[in-house]
Amino acid sequence: MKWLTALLRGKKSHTAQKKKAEAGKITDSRMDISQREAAVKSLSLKKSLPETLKLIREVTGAPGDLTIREFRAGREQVEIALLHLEGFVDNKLVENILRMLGLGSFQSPVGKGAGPNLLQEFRRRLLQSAETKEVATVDELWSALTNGCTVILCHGSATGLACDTWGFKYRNIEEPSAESTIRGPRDGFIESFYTNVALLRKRIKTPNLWLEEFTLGSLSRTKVGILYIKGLASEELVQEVRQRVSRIKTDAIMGSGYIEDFIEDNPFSIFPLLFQTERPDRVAGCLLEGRVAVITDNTSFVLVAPMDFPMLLQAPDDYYEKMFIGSFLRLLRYFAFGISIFLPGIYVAVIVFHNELLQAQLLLRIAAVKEGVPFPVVAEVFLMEILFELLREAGIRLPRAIGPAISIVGALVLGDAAIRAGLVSPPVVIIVSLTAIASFTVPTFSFGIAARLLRFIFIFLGGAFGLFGIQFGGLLVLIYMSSVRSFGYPYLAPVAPLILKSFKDLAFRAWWWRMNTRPLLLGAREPVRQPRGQQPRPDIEEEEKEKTGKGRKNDH
Amino acid sequence: MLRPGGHFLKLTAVFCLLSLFTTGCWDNREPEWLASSLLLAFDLDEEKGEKMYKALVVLANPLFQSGGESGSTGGGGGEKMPFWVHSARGRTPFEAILNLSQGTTRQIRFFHTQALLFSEKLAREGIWPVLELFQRHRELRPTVQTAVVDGDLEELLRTEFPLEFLPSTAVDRLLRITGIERSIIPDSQLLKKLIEFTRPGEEMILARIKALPQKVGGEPQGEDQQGQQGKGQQGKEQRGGNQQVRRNQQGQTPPGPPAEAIGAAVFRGDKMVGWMDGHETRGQNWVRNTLQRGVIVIELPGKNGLAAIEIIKIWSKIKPRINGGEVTITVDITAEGRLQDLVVSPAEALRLDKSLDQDLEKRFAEAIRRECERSLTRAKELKADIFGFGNAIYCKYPRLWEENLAGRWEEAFSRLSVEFLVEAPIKRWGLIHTSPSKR
Amino acid sequence: MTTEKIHNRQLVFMLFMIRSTVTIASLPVLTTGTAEQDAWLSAIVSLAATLLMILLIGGLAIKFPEETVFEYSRKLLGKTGGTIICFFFLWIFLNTAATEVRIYAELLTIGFLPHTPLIFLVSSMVLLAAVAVSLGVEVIARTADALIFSYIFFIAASLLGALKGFDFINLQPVLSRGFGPVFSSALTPAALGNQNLVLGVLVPTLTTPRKAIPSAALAALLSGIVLILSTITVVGVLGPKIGSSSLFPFFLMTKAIEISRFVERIEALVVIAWGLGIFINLSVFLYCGARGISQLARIRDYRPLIGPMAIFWIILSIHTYDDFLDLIKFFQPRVFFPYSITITVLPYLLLWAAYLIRHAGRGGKKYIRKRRIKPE
Repeated sequence: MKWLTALLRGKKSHTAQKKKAEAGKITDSRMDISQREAAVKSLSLKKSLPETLKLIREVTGAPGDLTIREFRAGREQVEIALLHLEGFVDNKLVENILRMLGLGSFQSPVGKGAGPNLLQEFRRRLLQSAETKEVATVDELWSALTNGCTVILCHGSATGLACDTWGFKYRNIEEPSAESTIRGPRDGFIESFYTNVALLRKRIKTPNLWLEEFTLGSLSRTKVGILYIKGLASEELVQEVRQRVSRIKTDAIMGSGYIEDFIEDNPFSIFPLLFQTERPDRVAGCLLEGRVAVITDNTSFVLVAPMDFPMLLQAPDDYYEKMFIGSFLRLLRYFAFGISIFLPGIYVAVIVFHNELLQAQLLLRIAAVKEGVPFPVVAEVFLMEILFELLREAGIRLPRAIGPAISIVGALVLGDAAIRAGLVSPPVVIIVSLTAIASFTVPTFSFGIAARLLRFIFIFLGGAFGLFGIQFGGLLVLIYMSSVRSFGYPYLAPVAPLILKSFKDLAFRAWWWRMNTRPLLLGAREPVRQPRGQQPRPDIEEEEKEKTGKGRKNDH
Repeated sequence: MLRPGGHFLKLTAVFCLLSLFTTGCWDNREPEWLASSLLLAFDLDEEKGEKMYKALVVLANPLFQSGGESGSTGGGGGEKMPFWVHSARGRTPFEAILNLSQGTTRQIRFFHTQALLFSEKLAREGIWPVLELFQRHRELRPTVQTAVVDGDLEELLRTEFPLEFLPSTAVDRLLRITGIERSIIPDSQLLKKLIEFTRPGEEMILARIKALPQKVGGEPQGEDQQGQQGKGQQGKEQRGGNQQVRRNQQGQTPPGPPAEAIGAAVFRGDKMVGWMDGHETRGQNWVRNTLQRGVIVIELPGKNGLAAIEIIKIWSKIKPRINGGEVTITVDITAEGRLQDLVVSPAEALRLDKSLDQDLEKRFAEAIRRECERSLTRAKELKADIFGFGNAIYCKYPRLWEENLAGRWEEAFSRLSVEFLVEAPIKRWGLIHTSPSKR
Repeated sequence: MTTEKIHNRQLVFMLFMIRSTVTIASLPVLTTGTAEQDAWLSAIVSLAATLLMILLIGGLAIKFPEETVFEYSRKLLGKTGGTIICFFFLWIFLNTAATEVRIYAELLTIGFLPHTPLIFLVSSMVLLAAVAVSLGVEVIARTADALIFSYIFFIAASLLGALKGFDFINLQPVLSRGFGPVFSSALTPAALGNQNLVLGVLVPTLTTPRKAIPSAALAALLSGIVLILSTITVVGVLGPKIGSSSLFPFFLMTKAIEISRFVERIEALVVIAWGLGIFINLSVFLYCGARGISQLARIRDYRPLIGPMAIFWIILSIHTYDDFLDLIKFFQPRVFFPYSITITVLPYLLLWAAYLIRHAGRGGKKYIRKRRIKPE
């Protein structure tokens, strides 16, 4: 009954309520995680080494990867313990430290009370090789250990010394599998925070590329960073991102998708409102437009805010190839995007409702091969689409060796068998496969999912109400997309608030010497990117000489 | 404040659910329920003394596998005909075409009708009801080709045309493609005819399709031709206009062309009043700038041969003028010709020089003028102004038209004096300039 | 209520789509009145009349750049007088929008979906408009931005495609019956200029209200040009007699387009264009109506009003006219013109009179000061 009264009164039920974080004894195994966390926060290292070690073992449960080396050093033979976590440290560096500490004798005027002085002595010696920090609580100790440090504890000192010996084994920097290019660079982000930052700094070497770090997740304590170009990104935008990221309260951040869920403008949106990519060149490009990047540790996907719709259909290759090729490919992609959403719906609508729109012979052909098929057109298209979706999902999970075989089996055999059995008509198979191929041209995977959902909606609308239904659905989607703002910037810019100047990067890509201004909404602080008139032409040197004397902005 | 996302999702969900239930309502037409009419023809019939419209329709047979893919699905082997002719009667044209659905197993849709044919009988009675149907009806398009059939309408529809699967495509191409070659039929698009009809001072003129009797040795025509010939035979017999009489496997001689598009049916109002033959129609075409190609054969100077001149371009301007209270028309015609053929003995191969050229041009122009005169004479005979002279007068002197001539243009037309001024340079001569000869 | 701002350019696009949709779809300049082949001259005349109306409506609107017409009409004519005028305007929004969506639904029924009940077509469009309005006028403006290119492209494609069948003779004789028929055919399209009433409500939302008149005039000019071109093309292709006797001449003309045997059935394009135009139409009118009612009734936010208004709209559009012929009778110049003048121009004349009286009386010093060359 208690729960019922609590419910009626609007209070949370007792199961959902967090237990008060009583700082009980850490050895009490009935404590919940939140209580344990609270308890750990209050613990600090003890002066006596055996006590400290015992404390650590109680808190962490004496795991096997926590390596504790105890030895005595110095003339006093003070007890010293070296702690590190296996897998986090580079053993060579640890040996280095050991050498500096344990071997040989040192002439130090250490007398009584050698503990803290010993530590200072260590510090002095290690200063030449590694970054050192003092840790005083169990929390700090553990945080240092999980950041790859080796901690030195001395008997008689209530603080420890943490030296950086980071040696985590990451994968190499390799091309991201989902976003490959022909002519662009082939490095991609990996799961290391600072490596990712470095990949960006390598491309934007100005000191104005600022990084702000946060630690998010009470249990995961993941490092999350915001990157932007100070003076170019608008202060409101940075402040907004900063606010949204810093107020995330959760227990763990496993990937950038978690952060995306917390900070996006509209959780019900089927369109992605934050851009995710594994390519440093794309992120660098976004930063240079005045956007803000969010890097998360342990994930190779970097988020970029704000996002607008044209970003979804741009591929890095557009910028690296010649202008005509890039523009053509981009237009092709827009066309393919339209096809991937509308084509099955339009097919159904035209065949079922508006067969007068087809040319006579085309209609007769389609009708002829459709004779004897037991399903209505909507059902046919729907079935084939479901089949393709199944194939697609299966293809992702399959090991690489079998993947292509299954897709061939699926596509050819199933499709062909279905036609021969008279269950579907060939035009439907053509339409569905064309749609599938077109949908793969969309470079951003997260949007592909939205496209798939929309496609099904349009199939229904087209089958029920014909082209009128498709117009209805299309308008609804358009209204919705026009109303969406990502971090305050309209989603459909530069189409929705019509900014003709930004069209040069929209459906086609203008030459780089034409891209004199940044996207107007984002780069409002410094709209001019480069001086005009840099089109390669024969007398460019003479003309520049004539023009010198007139002040031009951004002239390096 | 309405959250955009939530609303959108709910709306979509509701609509999807609804649409699942409504599939099958209202206007959806699965292609399997439909039969497309490809050609519509109207005839007049009598039933118990009452005038009845008879509608004939050529329906495409969806079971027919045109192109014959092996292993395709669907019913029917390769034996079915690609089309089926069906007819029905009614007191109005619309009732007639609705009655067509009796006896067919599918709904008939007229969206893809390519041609509209009239029988002579109906044409003489008046075709306005049908024309009105075509303007009102949602499915019938004003871009169809239209013609009056001289001969048996029904038999024409049932005939198997060599080179085409369907009589509708055959009729459509006859009117659009082959008619253009020689300019012996007027413009056959229905919309143009309707516009002609509604213009003051102009009369409608429709193309004529002559249904030719099929001369085949000893075998009855019509029905037999229908189920007998497969695709293979067609290709074998009619290759390249070969006219040799070869007996095929069944002992039939191959038929000649089933129909020709030549000439025109002249109307006064919506009633047909007479036929015009090919040359007269051509004369009319020259004046009205409708079609532009043709061949004129003229005599060479000195009477030692003939020359065939192809008309490349021809355009004309109709100029009405008031000469002392009377309206006269001058028609300025400019034509360009291409010398295509000379019928002379090789011994007298001619060298083309300036004087010969000018002589030829004069004769060419004279030939054109004579054709136009012929056409005019026939039109005056039928008291139908098919040239649009009345309309030209109306455009230039609207007051005069409305006061004097509007009501009585038929009479005035037969007394109208028209002068044709033709200028016809011959600008091209093909690939050679002199006939090569032994000399 | 956060103030929403739309750019002047978006106003131009919206007004353009509003003005051109109905006038091109049903082409009243050809189907009403007796001009026939001179209909394009009537289109020019109606363009001039529309510009005058814009000056009338917009001129007053820019004198009160922060207020909608509902607010300053009460200021100018007092509470009772102003409220009566507001009711007039509200009625116009309601009626015009209901009529336009009815025309569109009839077009779909006549041309494409004969068995679909009208109420379904009408309610779908009104539903879309309601969604857009509930999201705000900025969203409507942005959608207009996004749609304008498609709209223009479809109409241009239809016009260009029709040129193949164009015949100059159909446009002659020019002015054979004098100017009388030209004016008679210009009455209804000019009266349709009451669509410009939305200026009264939209001007406060602009970023530069003072430039409202040039923007609206530009929209009227562009839509007028499109109307003239369409009229010329339609008459040239269909001929004056067929054109004036058909219900939707433009649609009939697109049916007659046959560019090649493959590209021949493009009438769907133009119907889609009109669907987009009607959507913008309805959204703007619904917004103006909702804004108006909320200001009259002193409700702070207009959003809750949208639902009931939409339902009312649907019912009104179905039941005002028994059938399409009724609607055509309503559009005849001798009915529609006086109706529109009374309901649009007359109130504005009263408002102008009130404004001039007030300002001449109170601000007489303003005028006097202007005349003096030297300050006191």
